[in-house]
Amino acid sequence: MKTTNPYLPKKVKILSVTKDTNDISTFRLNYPIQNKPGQFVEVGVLGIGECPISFCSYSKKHIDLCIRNVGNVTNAIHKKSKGEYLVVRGPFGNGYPMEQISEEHVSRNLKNELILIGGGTGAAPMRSVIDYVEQNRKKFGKVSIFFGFRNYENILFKKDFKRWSKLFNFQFTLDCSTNKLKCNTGAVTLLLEKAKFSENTKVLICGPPIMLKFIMPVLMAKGIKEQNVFISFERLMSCGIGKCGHCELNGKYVCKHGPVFRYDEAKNFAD
Amino acid sequence: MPYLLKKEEFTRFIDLLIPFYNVTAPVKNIKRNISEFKVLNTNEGNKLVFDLPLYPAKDVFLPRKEKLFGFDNGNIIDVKHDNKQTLLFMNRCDINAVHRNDLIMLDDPVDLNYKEKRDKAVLIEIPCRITERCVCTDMGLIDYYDIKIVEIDNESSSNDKINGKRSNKGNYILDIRTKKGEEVIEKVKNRLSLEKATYTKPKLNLFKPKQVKTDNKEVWEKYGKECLSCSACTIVCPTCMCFTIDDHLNLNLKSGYRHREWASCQLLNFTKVAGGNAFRKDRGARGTQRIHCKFIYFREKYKHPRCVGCGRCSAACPVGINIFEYFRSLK
Repeated sequence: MKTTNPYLPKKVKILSVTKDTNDISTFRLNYPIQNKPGQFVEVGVLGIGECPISFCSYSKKHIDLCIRNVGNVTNAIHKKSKGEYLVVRGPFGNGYPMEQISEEHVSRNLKNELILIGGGTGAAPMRSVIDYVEQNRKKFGKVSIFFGFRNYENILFKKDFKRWSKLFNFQFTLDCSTNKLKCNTGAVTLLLEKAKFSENTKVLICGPPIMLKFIMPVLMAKGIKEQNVFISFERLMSCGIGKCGHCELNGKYVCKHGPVFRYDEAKNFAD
Repeated sequence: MPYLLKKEEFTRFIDLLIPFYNVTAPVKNIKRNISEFKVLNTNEGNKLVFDLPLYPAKDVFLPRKEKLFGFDNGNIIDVKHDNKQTLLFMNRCDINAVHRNDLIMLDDPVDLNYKEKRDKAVLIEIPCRITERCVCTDMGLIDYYDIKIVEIDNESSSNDKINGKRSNKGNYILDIRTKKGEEVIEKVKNRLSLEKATYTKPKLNLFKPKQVKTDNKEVWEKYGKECLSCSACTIVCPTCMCFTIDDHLNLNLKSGYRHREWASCQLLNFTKVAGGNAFRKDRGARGTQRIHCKFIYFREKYKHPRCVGCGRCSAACPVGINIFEYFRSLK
């Protein structure tokens, strides 16, 4: 049994800060832990508070957190720069079933296709999945990445786009058209409708609830099985260990049993 | 082993315990004409009443506001809680509430702040005084006490035979269930004239689970119209243990502490996320969460209902919402 206090965070140094958009920055923290794509940490500033943020990279040496400046805590985090300290505890949650998917692909030779869908800031947790796939490229089959952003100014991880386009079937859409860039315009569903999937395709999703509402019928119509769709849920967890109750959803704690749920289990979740 | 405690010695029994423990027990508040849980001072054993106070004693284990750790100049300082052993005199339903809270707080990963207090607490079950709000009979209450005080109110009870001709009416039996309970009795045994006794445990009522559909739209619409979202029900509930973690910063802007505070699923901001969106905007939806949490979700996880049938929520509700009626009306 663990004897460490789960509420006690660690002081962690900021290694670098990359500005992605006007209000989103990626913080690289000196927090060498074993993490899984889709898991999250409680990150905060002493005296202000803490909030749950998903990993947006996969590495044993450090963690990257892509944080949008929307509230008290994230605002305080954004005021910090390289060399300063944040407090972190975690990782929490189950994460995406990357090992299960790669195991099916390698040992059972099911020739899994993998589709990663990210909407807005939901692209951040997807980046950790992409990192994982990149580092274990042989364990996965064909990989398609579909991202949707609001407009040109809100595009995340622009630097990675070139590399991803070479390695994977990478596409993204913008909700509003722009003349700065040649790209698809519309919702992510557009990309899905055009794409062709094999029977055993696994779909990993992270995005706002409204996006899920439109994506799911498209996926189902394409013949993707419900048990092959994995969705990451958003909640404001306070404790991260299944005690505080804020993230309780149909008797499951999003922080402990999630945040990633299989669609066939999660589709009847009611708020 | 059960002991016989004479009624004349009952107050002395409590008085003897007070120097060793923080004795928390229901006490009559004459001014407000209610009973409430209080820590007894020296020789206040006579103040103990057998009653079910409206406010539960859950703050013994989860204080309204509890420091998790302190910080100063960016350094984290672990808070050491210095807790005395606590004796809790509670009704059967409240003791079961501790059991339900144990299930969740001591589940992996263990909540150390809770465990620290829980390890030092001895639960003593007092005889029930059934009030009009009690609904515990079908809630599947279990034996979870360390010591149980049983009132002998029946002349023909088996205990009379052991002690011969003398009537035992009004005396008490102390049933010891755990080692913790034995240690308590060991401390005061020599200064009381305790006698050996026998005690047959009554049969337990089991909770009858009920399958409920998730869409009881009319029921929840009705709830949404009735509920004022004041959160009184969750404040008085002995098993409502939800909390929010927040920081307190001192005026020097350098030191402070992180604390947790009671939260309520009946309030709008309970499910608020970044950007101002809340998942349960509707009062009916929040009612669904509360009633499902009490009767369905918790049982699925831990095999017991989270409700212990104390009926406090119905008593505290300003518009008289009764969760048992709502649960019954679910299809």
